Amino acid sequence: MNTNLIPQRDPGCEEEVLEGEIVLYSASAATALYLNESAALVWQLIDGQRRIADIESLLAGAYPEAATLKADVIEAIEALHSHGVIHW
Amino acid sequence: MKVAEKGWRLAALGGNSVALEWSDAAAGLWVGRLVGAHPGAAPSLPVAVYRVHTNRIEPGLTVFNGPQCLYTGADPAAGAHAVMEALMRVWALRCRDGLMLHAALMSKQGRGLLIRGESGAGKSSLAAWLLQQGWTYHGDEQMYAQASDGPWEGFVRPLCFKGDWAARFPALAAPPESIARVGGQTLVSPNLFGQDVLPAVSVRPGLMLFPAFRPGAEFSLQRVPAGQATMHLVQGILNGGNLNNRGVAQAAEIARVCPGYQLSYGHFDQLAPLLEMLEGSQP
Repeated sequence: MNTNLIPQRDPGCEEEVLEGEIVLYSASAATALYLNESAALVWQLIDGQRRIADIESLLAGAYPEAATLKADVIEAIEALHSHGVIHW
Repeated sequence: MKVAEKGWRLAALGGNSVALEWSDAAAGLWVGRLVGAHPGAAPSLPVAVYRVHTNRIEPGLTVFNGPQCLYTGADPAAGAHAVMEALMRVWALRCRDGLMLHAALMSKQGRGLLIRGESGAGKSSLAAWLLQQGWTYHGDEQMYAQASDGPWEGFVRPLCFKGDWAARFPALAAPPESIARVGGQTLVSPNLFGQDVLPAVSVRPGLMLFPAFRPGAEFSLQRVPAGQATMHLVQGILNGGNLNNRGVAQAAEIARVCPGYQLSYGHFDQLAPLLEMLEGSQP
């Protein structure tokens, strides 16, 4: 995945935050999506300006002990994209 | 039981009532078996009317919903099944201010236990087992939940078992009139499991249980995070088309205040810790 891409949130997406997790509802895709705590972190860092690499870098600074962090971020981004709640 | 030659009965769920009218005593008895365990509804204009009569020429009964013949035939259980499905459909279609859920509902001391699972997850069997443990049955298939801390209501229909239900309850001596078979399912009156009074119309929100029954499975009972519980509820919303964002916000409101538990089990003998948890969580 090109980590210079800048993910954009689907503007029709509603979020419910519950104890660190998030449930998203995309009206355009008519689907609900559950984000565990790590995917929720990625979602919260998507602001329409940060590149994927910036998100990786921010999280790497916060969680230096996380060995699979980059792969986790990519996995979360891909899942969000495949469910239509972010686009480039 | 003596039944009037002609009569009617209202049944409501989520603020919408339906009327079942009968025009002979045998049809009245049939209506009683279908909705006799459901608490009576306050007088209101019904959103649908079902008219039942015993056939005069061929054996059996016929049910009309307006001009539509919903069922005609000689199998009372098949007729009951068709009407139950119709009632649940109309309640889901008409419900616009709360969640109509594919879930069972039980209660103890007025506090609800929502049991949510797909068909075959064991909702009915678990409900029947809890009934035998002194819980009150409010339905095994469809319930209504207002968002947040609003009341819960269930459709108190006959329990509907799939497969070999009798093997799971070997101690029951079933009078034949309590049991009706349709397709691969068996409809059993909750009276057979010991429920001999009408349950309350609604109960307070309590706990949520997400069961998975599989013969031979190990027992496990785990608290699920509220986000996952929300998704379980969202998957069971039947009136999502009537709600903003398909009811996700309402489901989240419920999950924020009602603890949810994932249950796996393979036999009722394993369920003592479940009962302990449920009884221990009573306020």
